Amino acid sequence: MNEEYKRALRKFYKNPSAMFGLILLIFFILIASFAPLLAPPQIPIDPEIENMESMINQLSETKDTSLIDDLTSSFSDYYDFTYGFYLDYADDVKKLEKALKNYQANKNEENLKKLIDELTPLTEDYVLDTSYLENIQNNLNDTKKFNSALKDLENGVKAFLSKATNAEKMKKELDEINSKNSSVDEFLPAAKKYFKDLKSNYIKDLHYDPYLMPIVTYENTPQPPSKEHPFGISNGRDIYYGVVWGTRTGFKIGLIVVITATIIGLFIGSISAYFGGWVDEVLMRITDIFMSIPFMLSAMVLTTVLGTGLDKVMIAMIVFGWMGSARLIRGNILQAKNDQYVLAAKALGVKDSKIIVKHILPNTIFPVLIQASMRIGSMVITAAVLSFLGVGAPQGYADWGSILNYARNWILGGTGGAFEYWYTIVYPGTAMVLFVLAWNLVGDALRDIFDPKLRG
Amino acid sequence: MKDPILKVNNLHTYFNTEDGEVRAVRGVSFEVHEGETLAIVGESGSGKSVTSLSIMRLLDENGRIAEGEILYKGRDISKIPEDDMRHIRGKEIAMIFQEPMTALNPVFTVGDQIIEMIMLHMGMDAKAARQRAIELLRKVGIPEPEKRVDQYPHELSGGMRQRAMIAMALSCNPKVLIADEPTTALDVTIQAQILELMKELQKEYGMAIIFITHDLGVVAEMSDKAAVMYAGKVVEYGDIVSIFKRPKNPYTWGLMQSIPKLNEEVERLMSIPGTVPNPRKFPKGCGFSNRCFLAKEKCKDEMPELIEVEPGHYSRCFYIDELVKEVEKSRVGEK
Repeated sequence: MNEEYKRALRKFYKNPSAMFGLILLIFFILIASFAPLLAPPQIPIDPEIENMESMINQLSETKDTSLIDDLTSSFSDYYDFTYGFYLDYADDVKKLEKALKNYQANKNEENLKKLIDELTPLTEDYVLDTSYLENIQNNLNDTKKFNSALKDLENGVKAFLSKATNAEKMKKELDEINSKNSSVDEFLPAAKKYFKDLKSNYIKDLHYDPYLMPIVTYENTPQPPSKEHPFGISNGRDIYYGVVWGTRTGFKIGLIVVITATIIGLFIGSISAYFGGWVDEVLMRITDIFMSIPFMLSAMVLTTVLGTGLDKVMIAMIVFGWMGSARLIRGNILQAKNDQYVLAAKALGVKDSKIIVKHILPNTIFPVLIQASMRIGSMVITAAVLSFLGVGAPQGYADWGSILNYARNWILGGTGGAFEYWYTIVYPGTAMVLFVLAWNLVGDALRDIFDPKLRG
Repeated sequence: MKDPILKVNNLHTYFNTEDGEVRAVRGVSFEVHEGETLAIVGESGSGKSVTSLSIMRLLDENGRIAEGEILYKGRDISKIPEDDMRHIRGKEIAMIFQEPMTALNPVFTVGDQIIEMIMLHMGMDAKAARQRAIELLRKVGIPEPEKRVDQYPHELSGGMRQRAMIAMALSCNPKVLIADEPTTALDVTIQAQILELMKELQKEYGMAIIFITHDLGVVAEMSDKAAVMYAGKVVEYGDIVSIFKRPKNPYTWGLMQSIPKLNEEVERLMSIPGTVPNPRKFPKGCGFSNRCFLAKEKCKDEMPELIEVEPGHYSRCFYIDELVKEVEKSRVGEK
């Protein structure tokens, strides 16, 4: 096996275009993984938290004991404001949970009444949303809706209780800090830990999405590259940020879509080939139907139906993107099924399942994998086209296609000349071209190395 | 006499095709004992390969064993469930194929494939199995087996691959080895080596070999008994000496005549005129009637029975006596 690896690597090294592709790919992987460092997302931070942070920093520098009191008081204020609420009502919600469980175990009138009795005061105090109660009371006759209302309530209770548990944990830590307020050395590490938890809770609750390109100006026309915004500004957003974080989007779209579509294709194709007969007939006709629908049009229709969003785009691309690999693997398996080593393996008593996994798949899967690795690049183009047409990623999402979409009005240039707004296209466009090129070169090299049919 | 290890009784194998039922094998019977070699001889399309695939139960989906029984150690394996059959394949009855180029999986090392067999049937762990694989490769005459075990099929020559194939088939000490034209695809010197190897291994392991071939030279070299097949039927069956010395079927005789003889100068080598009838429409009477120099009206309408002409020697022909005269005449001429 070692020998084989060495030979594969040697082949790879000797192939300059493969090396170029690999280097490009590694470059993109590095950009994607270090995106938070290359283009740090600006999380909007509560001024109170910023205040606490500066106080902690001051305390660790000056060791001024008077700061301890300030810090503890602002900690407890923040605690009361953010967590206290959950803890105050935790017992009542727990009672509600019990009533809900009772009702689910034994669905009778009496238990339902108890459940509603528990729920009513909580919604009246705005602890839980009134819609929980309304949905239950209004749908008493509709079993399906009633059950889903119960399910919602269960989830709501669970979410509340998990917040309450978190609040309890924070309270414990806060008590610990309060008990240690005599010396700076004891107080500081505890306060730091508390602050860290507090800040991470805050960021978690904020649901901040770093993939959203920050709006840096409300100016409508693109701004040329400057020191602060090295790739310029388009549609009020920083292109540099978009290109860097768009690398992640590119990998996400390419890998998820291609892997899922390939698995679906492999599954359908291999079932079709192995069982043959009417199974084959039905599955292949379904494949034909999918293939005869124009891809771009159907993807657009599906995204419009499902609604915008990157996940919807990916679903559309998977739904209309598995047929190639299904056909490829089917053809390969049909060919390999008649190879003599399959018969030989059967003659020596190997199980059917093992024959598929060990003898047929390894001989047939490489072309599919190579095709998949080449498609990763082209999937990014497809997603970009969808974004360009406005049915792709949501507004402001860091995605190369979206940035190109912003440039739509400026492609022809302005009064200053045809290339006045070149930066709105060149940077995201170059990134995309290189990304696709990298995958294609690597895919080609993989075929040269691994395809058993091309081996010596 | 001991019971035969494998006995095939009146085997019929039919295929369903778009042109209707094809009766590839129409009543074949033979038996082999431990340590014995039976050759099944015949032209392409005579049903010899189908017979071997029937024994292994590896027919294509459209094929079926329509009639007859295959007794392995007295048990009919033509009707047992597929799961039980899988335990017999490889462990009890193994098979090697004509094309050593394609009978090994190109993406695994030779060792991997042998080790797989050993672990599957003998329940050894990977380390012991590897040791045994190396031993087997050495036994089949592959030099430097420690190195070869980690090589891929494309790194071995044709003869080497066939040796590896034999090692694989022998990995679980099968009682019966079916060899489907194992030397046809190899060149002559390698052929001789492989045949020699098989004989040696048979002596050592005491297995029965069913040798499928169209090469009478190989038959004479290798086997104790032969079954000559034509158009899905056995036309002559008996021990090798009596078949070669006293052929009792015009087809066998024709085959022997078409072997070049080194001590004789002839302008043209004798050949049997015509070709094997299409299995889709075998003639009603004797399958060989349209090519036979002895054929009369009767042969076209009636199928001769397999009759015992001397102890242990069977033939299927109406005019054996006339054939014997012909044979004697030509033998006299030779001398």
